[in-house]
Amino acid sequence: MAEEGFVRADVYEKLTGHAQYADDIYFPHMLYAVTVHAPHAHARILSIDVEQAKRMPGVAGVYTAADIPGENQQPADKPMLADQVICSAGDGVAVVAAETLEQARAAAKKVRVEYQVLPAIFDPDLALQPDSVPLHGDSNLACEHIVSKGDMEKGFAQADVILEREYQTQRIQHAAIEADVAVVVPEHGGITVYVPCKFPYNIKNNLARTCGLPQSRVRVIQPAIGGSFGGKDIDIIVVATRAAMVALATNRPCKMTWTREECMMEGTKRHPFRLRYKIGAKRDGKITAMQILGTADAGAYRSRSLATIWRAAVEATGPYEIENVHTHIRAAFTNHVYSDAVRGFGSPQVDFASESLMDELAQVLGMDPLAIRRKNMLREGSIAATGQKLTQVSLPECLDRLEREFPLGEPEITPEGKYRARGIACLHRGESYGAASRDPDVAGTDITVRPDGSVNIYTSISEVGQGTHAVMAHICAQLLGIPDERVTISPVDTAYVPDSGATAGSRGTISGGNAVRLAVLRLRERIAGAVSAQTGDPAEEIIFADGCLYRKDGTKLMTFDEAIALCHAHGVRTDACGQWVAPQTSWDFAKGQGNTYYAFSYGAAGAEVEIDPVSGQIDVTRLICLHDIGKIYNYPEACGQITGGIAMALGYTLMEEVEMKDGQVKSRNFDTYLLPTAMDAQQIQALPLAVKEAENPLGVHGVGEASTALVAPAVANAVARATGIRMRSLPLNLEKVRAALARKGENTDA
Amino acid sequence: MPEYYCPDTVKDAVSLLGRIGNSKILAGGTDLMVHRRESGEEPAAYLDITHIPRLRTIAMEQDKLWIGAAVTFAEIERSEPIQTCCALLGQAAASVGSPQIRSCGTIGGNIANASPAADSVPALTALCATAELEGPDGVRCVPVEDLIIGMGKTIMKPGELLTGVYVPVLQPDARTAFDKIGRRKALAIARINGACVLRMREGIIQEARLCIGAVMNQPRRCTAAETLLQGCRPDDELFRQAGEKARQMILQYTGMRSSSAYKLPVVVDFTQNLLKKACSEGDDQGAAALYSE
Repeated sequence: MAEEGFVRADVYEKLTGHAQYADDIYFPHMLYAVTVHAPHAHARILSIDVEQAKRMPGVAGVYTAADIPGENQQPADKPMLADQVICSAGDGVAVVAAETLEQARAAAKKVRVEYQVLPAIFDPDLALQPDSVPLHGDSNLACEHIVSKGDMEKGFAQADVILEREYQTQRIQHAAIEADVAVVVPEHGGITVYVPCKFPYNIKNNLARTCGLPQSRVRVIQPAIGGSFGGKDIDIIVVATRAAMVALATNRPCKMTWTREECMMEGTKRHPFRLRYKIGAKRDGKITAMQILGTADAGAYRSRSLATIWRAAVEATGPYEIENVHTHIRAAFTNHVYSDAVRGFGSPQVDFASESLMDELAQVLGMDPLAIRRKNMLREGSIAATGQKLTQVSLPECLDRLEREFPLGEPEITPEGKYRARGIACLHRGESYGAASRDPDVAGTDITVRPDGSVNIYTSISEVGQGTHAVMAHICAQLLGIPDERVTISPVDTAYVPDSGATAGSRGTISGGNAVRLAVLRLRERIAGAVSAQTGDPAEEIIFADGCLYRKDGTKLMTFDEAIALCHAHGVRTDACGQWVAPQTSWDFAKGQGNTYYAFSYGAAGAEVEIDPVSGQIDVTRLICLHDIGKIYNYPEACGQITGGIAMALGYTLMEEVEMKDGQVKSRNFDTYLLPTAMDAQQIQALPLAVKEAENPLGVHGVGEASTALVAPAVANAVARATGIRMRSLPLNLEKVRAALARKGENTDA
Repeated sequence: MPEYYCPDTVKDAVSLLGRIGNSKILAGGTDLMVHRRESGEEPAAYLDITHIPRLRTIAMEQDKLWIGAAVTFAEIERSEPIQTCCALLGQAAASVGSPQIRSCGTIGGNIANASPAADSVPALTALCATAELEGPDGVRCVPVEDLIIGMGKTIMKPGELLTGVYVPVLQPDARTAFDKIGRRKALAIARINGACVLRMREGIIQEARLCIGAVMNQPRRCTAAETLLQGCRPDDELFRQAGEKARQMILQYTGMRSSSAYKLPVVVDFTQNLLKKACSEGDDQGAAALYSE
C-alpha cells in the first residue's frame, strides 16, 4: 500500500482546472482593492493626498494607515500600511478600492504621496556598526543567537590544521505559482476571509488583531492553494488586512490580489547569509573545534528572523560531533525587502557553508570526503553542539546507502573539453518548531463518523501540495479498519476545524498524523465501549480491521457500520478529538545550550556535474537525495516532496537570485528571475528511506524541507572536485564559474 | 480599448497600417503581449497578420526558400524544406524559448522585434537571408543584416510590413553550425548565440560566414574573422584566432560594458567551438537537441 501510494482527493480537480483558488472567488458587489507602493527604500511620509484618487471613476474609497481598524504594527515588524516611515521600497502606503480592478489601478496612480527621502542602509554588517542609524529601536540588531560548547582556545590548540573560510548565500523567493490574494466578506458581525495560507489560525488571530475584532468573529476559509514553500503566511496577513479594512469600511466584499511584480517587490524573501567559519582538526580528520560567525539580512522588519536564525545557529556545525563549538549568528535590519520563512528556514544557508567546508578540510588533509564525514559524524547517543543527546540517529546508515548508490570514484567518460566529477553532502535537521518558537507545538484534530459509516476529519493542517491530507485520511482509515475512500478531510474552515498549528517546520504529517491517531484511539474507545455494553466483550480487547470489529480470539463481532448504528441507537456520539502535544524542548539563550528539537532527521545527497569551461555552465547530470523518514506512509508522495525540494534547491544553487540595487528589487517577473525548467531538472533521484523509526507513535519524520538543504553543497563539492575551484557564494552562475576558472592557478580562493 | 483587425491579404494589411496611426502588428504576440504588460500602454489597433496565406507559407522559389513572416518557430523546426536547404535555421528555431513559445512565436516577429539576443538573426545573417518589406510605395528586399540597426530598431518605414524572408539554399559544400549559451536549458535568453557557414573544398575553407549574436546592438558579420579563415585548413589554433578577431570587433563596437568581463573572453572560445562544430557537422545534434523537446 505504501509503495503504490494512494490517489489524493485534490489531484483530479487541480489537473482538470476545476480547483477553486481564492482568485476564482467572486461575490456580488465585490470591490477590488489595489495597494499603492512606496518607491523609496527609506523615507518619511510627509503627506498623502487621496482627493484626486477618490474622485476617479468607480472608486469606493481610498485608505491609509489611519484607517486600519485595529493594530497596524507590532514593534519593529511589518505595518499593514506604512504610517510615518517607509523602511523598504514597495511598502504599501495606501489602498484604493473600486468597482473594477482596472478602475482601482487607474485611481492608485492618482494617489499623491510626499516623501522625505532618508539615507538607507543595505549592508547587514554595516548596519550593525555602532555608528549606524537604527531603523527600529536603538540598534539594527534584529536578533542574535549563540551556541556554545566546550573550550574554543583549547580546541584550536589541539588542532593540527586550522582553516578559515567565508561563504555567502543569496536572497531568493518562494515563487509559488499562486500569487498572494485575499477575498474578505463582512458578515455575521465580523469577517469571513478566503485565503491560501499555511497557518489558518495565525491568519485568523492576526486579522482579529489588525481589524480590531474578537477572534470568534474572524473566520478563515481555505480554498485550493497554489503553493506555499514557506510563504502564504505573513504576506497573506498583509494582503488580507488591506482587503478587510475595505470590507469593514464599505460593508462590501473585497478582493485584493497581488500581481507577480508586487509579490516580488513587497513579499517576504529568504534571508541572505554571510558566514565565517573557522575549523580546527587533527591530521586524522577529527574536528577539534569549530567557530561560526554569521550575519543575516533580516531586511526592514523582524517577522520570523528570530526562529530562522536560531535554527541556523543550531544546525550550523553540520551533522558532526564536535567537542568545542562557538556559533554566533546575528540578523540585521536593513532597508531591503524583509526576510522570513522560506522552505528550509535557515538550513539551506548553513548547510551550504558547513558541507562545503567539510570538503575543503578533506582536501587540505588529503582525505576522502566520505571518510572525513564518517570520522566526525553523529551517531546514536552523540552529543550535539547544543549539548543535546541525540537518539534514533541514522546518519551512518544514510552515508552507507549513499556510498552504495553513488560511489564517489572517477566518472567513466568525460566529454572532450568538459570537466566532470561527483560531490556529496549530508545533514541533520531538527523537526517542527523547536525550542525557540513562541508558538506551542500542538495540533488538534476532530473526527466524526457519520451514520452511514463515512468519516470526516477536521484539521487546520493545510494541503499545500505535499499530500498530508491524504496521509492523515489514510492513517485514520487504517486505524479504524475501513477503506481510505470512506475518510474525507473537511475543507479547512476555522469556524469548524480545531487549531492544528502551522503547516511548517516539516511537521504536517508528524503533527497532523499523530493528532488523527489520538483522535481515532479515543473514537475507538467510545465505539468499543458502546459495543461492549451490549455484547459484554471487554472493550479494550476489541479489534478494528477489515471493516469489522473482532474479538481478541479473531471471531467477528459485527461490521463497522453495525457498530456505528449501535452507537447511534444508544445515544453514543461517534466523534472524538485528539490533541497532539509535541515532546518538550528547552533552550538556554544565554548559555547557548539545550534540547533544541524533539527529533532530528538525517539525509545525504550526491551530485554529478559536467562543467563547460567555455560558457561556465554547470550541468547537473545526476542528483540523488536520500532521506530517512522513519516510516513511509506514501512512497510516491515522499518522492514527490523530496523531488520538489531538490528542484527548488537547484534553482538556489544555479540560477535564482532576487537582485537588489539601491534597495529596489531588480527582477520583477519570471523573465528575469530564473527558475529551473523541466529541462534543467531531469536527472533527479529521490530516495526516501525507512531506517530508524522516529520516536513518535507514527514513527514518521517530516521531509518537506530537508531536501532543500543538500543540493547546493553537493553541487559545489562536485564542481570543486571537477575543476579544482572552490565556489563559496551562491548562486553558481555562468559569470562566477567562468571567472573562477580564469583565476584558477593564481590562487584557490574563489 | 484597441481595435482588432484580421486582414487576409498583404494589400489590406498595408492599407490598414497606412490608415490607422499607432497600430501594432500581431502574430504570435510573444514579445508584444509582454511589452504591453510592462508598458501598460495599448495601441489604437492590433493588426493580426496570421490569416494572410503568403505570410504562413514555406516554399521554394527558384534557388531561394521563402519563409513567411507569420511562420512559427515550431513550423520552422519541423519543416522538411528547411532541414534540406538550410538546416542551420531549423537549429536556431529549435533553440528558442520552449515548445509553448515556439508554437506561437514567429520568425517575422523575431526579426522585427530586433532584440540583440534574437536567435534567428545570426542564422539568417550567416545564410545571407533577405527580408521582404511591403509598404505604400511597393515591395523592397533588404538583407536581414542591414534591416536591424539597433536595439528594437529597424529601417522599416512607417506603413511597411515585413512579409517574410528569402533564404538562399545552401550549397552542398557548406558546413554549418548554430550554438547558444543561456542560463538554463530552456526559456533562456541568449547570453551569446552564433551561427557560421563554412564552404569547403578538398579540406580548405573557400568562404566563411560568421555572425555572433547577443553581443552587439545589431547583427554584424565578423568580416575580419571571415577573411582570416578564407583559404585555410580547419585548425583549432586558426579557429581560436578567428574568435580573437570576433572579440576585437565586438570590443570595438561596444566598448567595455558590465557584461564584457564575461562575454568578451567567452566569445573567443565560443567562436572557436562554433567553427569546430561546423567542421564536424554530421553529428550536428548540438544545440537543437539541447533546446528542443
